[in-house]
Amino acid sequence: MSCADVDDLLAGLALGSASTDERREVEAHLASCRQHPQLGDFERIADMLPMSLDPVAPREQVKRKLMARVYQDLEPELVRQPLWRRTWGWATAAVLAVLALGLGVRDYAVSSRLASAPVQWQLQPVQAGTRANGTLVWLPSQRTATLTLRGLPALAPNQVYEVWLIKDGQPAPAGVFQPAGSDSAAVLVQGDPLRFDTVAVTAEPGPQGSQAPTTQPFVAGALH
Amino acid sequence: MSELPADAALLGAVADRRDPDALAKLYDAYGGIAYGLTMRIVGDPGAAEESVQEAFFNVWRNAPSYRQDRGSVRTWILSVVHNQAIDKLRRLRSKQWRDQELDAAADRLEGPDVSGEVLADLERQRISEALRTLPADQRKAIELAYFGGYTHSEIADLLRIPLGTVKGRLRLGMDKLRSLLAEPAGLEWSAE
Repeated sequence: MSCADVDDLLAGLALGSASTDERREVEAHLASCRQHPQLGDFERIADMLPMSLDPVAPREQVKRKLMARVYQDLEPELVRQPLWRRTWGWATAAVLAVLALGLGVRDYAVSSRLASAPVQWQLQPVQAGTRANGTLVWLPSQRTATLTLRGLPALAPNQVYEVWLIKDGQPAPAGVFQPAGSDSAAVLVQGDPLRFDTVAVTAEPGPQGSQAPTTQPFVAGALH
Repeated sequence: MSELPADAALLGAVADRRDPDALAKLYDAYGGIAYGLTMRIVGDPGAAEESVQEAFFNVWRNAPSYRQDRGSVRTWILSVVHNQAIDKLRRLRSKQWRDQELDAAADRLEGPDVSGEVLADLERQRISEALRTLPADQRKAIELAYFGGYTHSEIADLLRIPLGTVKGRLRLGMDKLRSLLAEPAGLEWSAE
């Protein structure tokens, strides 16, 4: 490829419109030729193009879902587990806080992160022949619960999935969803899981779901 | 093209300490422009939200790969957002689009963002005006390349022009933008 050919492609390279072959050939040429300093300028111009647009505020749930994924990604270093692990986590936070105050430990942030750390519960299939499972994450700092589910069973026409938070056998509706063309989903749960003892998911009449379950849950988890 | 000094510290906290609060602050700072950019590229609010979420998760995962000598934190984040949006658009396009829909796509890419509305932000105004100064055929080629995610040959098909003409319009347009945007933004302020 000649220098003239390369010059013809530099703008497209910076803008992302060069094909894979064009990019490969240009990069091979640039590895041994110093006659094309304009590429750096073009790349800087391309980087400026997003700033020609007006910002548009995304919905609040985009940030909530993002942060839920981030906290899940921190597991196991940060996210505590239910039962004894959760108790152990709070105890550890308390001990670290005491150490930080009493002994002048510098990294007090460790204890505060643990104190505001998310809580996570697992959901397992509760019907024979189903493989659905999931994870419910509660973010105390944002008072947000996110449920991720995998292996969802197929719905009948006009059905939706509905999440229930249950306390003492009394289910409260906590969200309706219907993933398009996938057996996985991530949904925001309406309610504070710490106030309930069980989370479950059923198939309900769509599009609005039900006020009380009309079918047996196919996946559930204890919130202890 | 200045950035808040805090940006580097926030990205450093994400890279070194995996600090979720630092990522949340970067999202608060750049989520709006990221979503605006992604909406311009993808066009569908639901797909744009997924793309923005994925992009910032990539920022979370790949923060250690950021190098200050390659540009500002904002530039890096927006390049991650842009790449994610183009990937999303190409997946959607291969899945849903048909040839006869390309003309409509070209019309959509002639968005209103650079067409005369009053823009409060100096930097945005400066870059928008530079784009508006370009001849329409050069601006359209650049928008199809950057915001549309099309290759040279796809742009040639779309505009029904020779491949060499596409490359020429991109080069002429970028050369002109380079000369228009060479001066720092602050020089455009004039004393009262």
